Amino acid sequence: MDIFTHLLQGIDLLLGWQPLLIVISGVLMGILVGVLPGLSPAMGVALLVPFSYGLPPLYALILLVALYSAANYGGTITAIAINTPGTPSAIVSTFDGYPMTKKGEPGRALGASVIASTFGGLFGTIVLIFFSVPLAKAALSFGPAEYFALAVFGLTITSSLATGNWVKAFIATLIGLLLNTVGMDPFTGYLRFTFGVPELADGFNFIPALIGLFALGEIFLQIEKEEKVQKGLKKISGRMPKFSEMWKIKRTILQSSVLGTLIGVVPGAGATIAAFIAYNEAKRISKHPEEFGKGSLEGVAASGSATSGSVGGALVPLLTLGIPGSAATAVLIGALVLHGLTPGPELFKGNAPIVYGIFASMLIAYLVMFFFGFLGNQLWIKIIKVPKSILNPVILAIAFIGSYSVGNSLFDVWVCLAFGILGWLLRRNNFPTAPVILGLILGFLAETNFRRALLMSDATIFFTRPVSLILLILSFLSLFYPIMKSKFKTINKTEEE
Amino acid sequence: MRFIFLAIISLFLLKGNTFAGYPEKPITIVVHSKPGSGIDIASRLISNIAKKYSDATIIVENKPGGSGTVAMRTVLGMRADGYTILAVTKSFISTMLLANTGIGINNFDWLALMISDPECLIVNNTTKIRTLEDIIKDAKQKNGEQKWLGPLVGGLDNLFAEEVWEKLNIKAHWIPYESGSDAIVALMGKQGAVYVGNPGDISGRPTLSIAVVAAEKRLEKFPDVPTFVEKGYDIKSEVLWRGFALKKGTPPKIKKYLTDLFAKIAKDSIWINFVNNSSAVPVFYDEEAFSKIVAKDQEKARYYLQKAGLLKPRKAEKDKYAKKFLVVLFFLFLISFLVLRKVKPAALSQDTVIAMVLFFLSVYVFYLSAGFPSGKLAGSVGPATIPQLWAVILALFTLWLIVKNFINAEAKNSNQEKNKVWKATALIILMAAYLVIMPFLGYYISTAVFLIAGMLMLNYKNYLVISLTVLGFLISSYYVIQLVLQVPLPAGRLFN
Repeated sequence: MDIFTHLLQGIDLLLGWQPLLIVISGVLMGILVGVLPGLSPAMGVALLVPFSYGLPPLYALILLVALYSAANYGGTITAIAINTPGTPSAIVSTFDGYPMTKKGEPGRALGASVIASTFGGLFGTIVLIFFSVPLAKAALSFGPAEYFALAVFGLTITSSLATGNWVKAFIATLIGLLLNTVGMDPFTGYLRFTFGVPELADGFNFIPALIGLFALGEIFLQIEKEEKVQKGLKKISGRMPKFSEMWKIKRTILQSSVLGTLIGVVPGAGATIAAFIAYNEAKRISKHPEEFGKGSLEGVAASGSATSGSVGGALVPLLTLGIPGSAATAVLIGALVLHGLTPGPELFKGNAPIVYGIFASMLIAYLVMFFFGFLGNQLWIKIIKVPKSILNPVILAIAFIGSYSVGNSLFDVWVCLAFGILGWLLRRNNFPTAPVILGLILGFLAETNFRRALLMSDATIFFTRPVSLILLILSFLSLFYPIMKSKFKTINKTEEE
Repeated sequence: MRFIFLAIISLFLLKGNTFAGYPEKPITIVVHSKPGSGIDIASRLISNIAKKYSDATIIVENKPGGSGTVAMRTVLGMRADGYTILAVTKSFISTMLLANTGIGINNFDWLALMISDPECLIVNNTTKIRTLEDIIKDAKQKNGEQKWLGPLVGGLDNLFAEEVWEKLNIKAHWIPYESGSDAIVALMGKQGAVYVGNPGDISGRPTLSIAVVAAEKRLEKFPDVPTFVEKGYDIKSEVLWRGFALKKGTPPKIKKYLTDLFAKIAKDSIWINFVNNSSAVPVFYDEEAFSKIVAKDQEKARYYLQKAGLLKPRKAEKDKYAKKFLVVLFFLFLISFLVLRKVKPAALSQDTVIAMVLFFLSVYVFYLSAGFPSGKLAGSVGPATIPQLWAVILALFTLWLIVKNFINAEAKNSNQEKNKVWKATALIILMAAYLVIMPFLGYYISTAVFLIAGMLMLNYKNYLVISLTVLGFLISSYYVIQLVLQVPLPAGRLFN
């Protein structure tokens, strides 16, 4: 096998204290960038690009790739510990990770997250090494109709995000979708619903909205219900999940890693959509779907493995076609050019050692991440133990930094606060907030591709292309299946009574 | 503790209060795109190279938004003292013409043009359309249905396409994508015939090739690619330029300093290599030459924007009724609220009120959308369709919830906890106050005030722990956020 010899050569290049040190510092920076809300993996990579200029190309790239590999995991830490997703894709980790923390089991959640993330990351890397060429070809066949169908499929996840009242979940999704239409119309340049505010021309920035809905909304709610929380507070345990516990959910982890990697390959879909879909599918196959949203270990594992799996996936189109599969890989392309390398298939011809060096460094980076993840968990648990009256103002101040650093603008922080109030109002009335995010992520994908498909052809295009048709049928099923199931349950219950 | 506070404060005072020759404080390059974009990397590289030729410190600051409007506004909001430089690209001309912000080319001194990137037509060489002749033949066959891919409508690639269509006497559809690279992916997936871009777009993508380039003579790197002129069409040279500009009225002495600096950087081998690697051409035009190019390009852009029907005033006519309609809706809301309270007060839970507000908002959204102009390129689905669709569905769901709550009203418990609402509200107000004082007091002082007030408000009384936490937070935000991650935290007007 040619690939194996190349890979061994790649590993050979990395033996030595210098490259190892670079991988370790990349991973640590990645976790830091991930932990800080507002600093996305893409921004982390971009900030390191000028630093990397002084390094030889291989070392520069393994530094950046190591950062990118670990950043998505870093995001899940704050999501679990303080309900503040550090990266957009980590929102899904809040669904079950934070309830577990509230139950006094942050160690289990954080441990599951690092194990699942490591597995997903390694899985994605292996797929990247062995199957990138056929996968990249498949990704190219994604046209507007397919993207639209994917967005619709994503929107149907709403019905499984509903814990209880699904009408409220749909209302929340539609709030997100409508908020998403604020800003410049991508096709005609017309400013919709901006009311003359210039900062709204590009719509709401996603990260401040996210921080507001989750972190701020949670804090405001917590303060309102302060006494109850204090009474119900359980002892916080740093216990990690047992191996047998993880082994029980191996199918979830594997399935989520596959989904994360595959969705990561599709340019423009990305880690966040991957995490949502993996979560939805994990709930569908689970024996205990009723635990999802209330602290399910499977939910945490699904999110972690999918987000990290998407990293390897996103590198597929970068290395085989020279096109970015995510925001962070777009920055990596810039870094490659800066070092005089041409992204795309020519890399394999002219610079095979670099490519395989990157592959090998990813495998090492995930192991390093696993090590530091386990080590760091005790630190995060200490932070969770800090009294809420100290922690909450600090989280608000971190939310400030996170929203501000997205565009270096105070306006974004105001957006964050406004979304915080929205999140609070919704939560205290039992509207779920996750669907709002779903609407914000998918609204744009749905609208632009719907209209683009209709510019290219007529409406039959959605039903004549096989991938699009299959996705639409799946959406239909996935939309009504949970609703039907819950209806049947209630009917059965009433009959029993 | 006080020492470090004073140290931090004096750090800012130092910045503003020394008077010496230019540059005596860091120079900021404002970039209109996110970190990692082409112009961002170019600017960061320049800040690195500049260290060789001067003792000026150059920082790059990203101000994305509004196709460059936010960045332009940022620079125009500063003093014309040469400490804020705007990284510019040709796309700014379209933005200035289209965005109705009142910002024009005369607001800037166009300091230096550094990168010139010729426009070209790119095709997928695994399809039958590979040359300029193929494109023309296919376009005539498809009779206006040929698809051209590229970024935003009204952007410079779109305008160049308009020019090509006019000069070649063909018709085609412009299919807009969110970014150039999305459109390239679509071309690789054979979803259109032509992509309008630059030579760098094909590098590393063997299935793509350049059909024709808009340059005076063939490019060194692509000797087999013909020019429009060779093929007998009057499209001489069309480039995407990138460079740097200052706010109008910057003192000549400072401009000379920066011009000299950029001229030296333009000749630096690292810079030349970088530009060549991205298949563009490293050039240097000083203010006089650059300004002429900008003026000429603006005239051309105006002509083709008009031709594409994009320069008409596009303000919605219904706008003047929008406010009245909102008032009407508000009264309808009040009436329905009062009616409901009279008929069945138990049904008026907070749920129902939220649903009612959302219902009337969706009616308002529907009404506002109806006033959106459909635009020439909108085709069957204009900017109004999707918001209206969401609004209708939202209205239906909220109605459903209202009706459901109305029917099930008895089953609901009445209000449970009202006790701590004020506390959450107070924290929201505190956070708002934090944001209000930030521009005046700067990040460090207002954060300290906010953290202390917040902790006291939440009944934490251990002053030692409070002060240590606040101090630790400020120090780590200075080192991690401001120094390592280079986020320019607000400095505060008081000290500037």
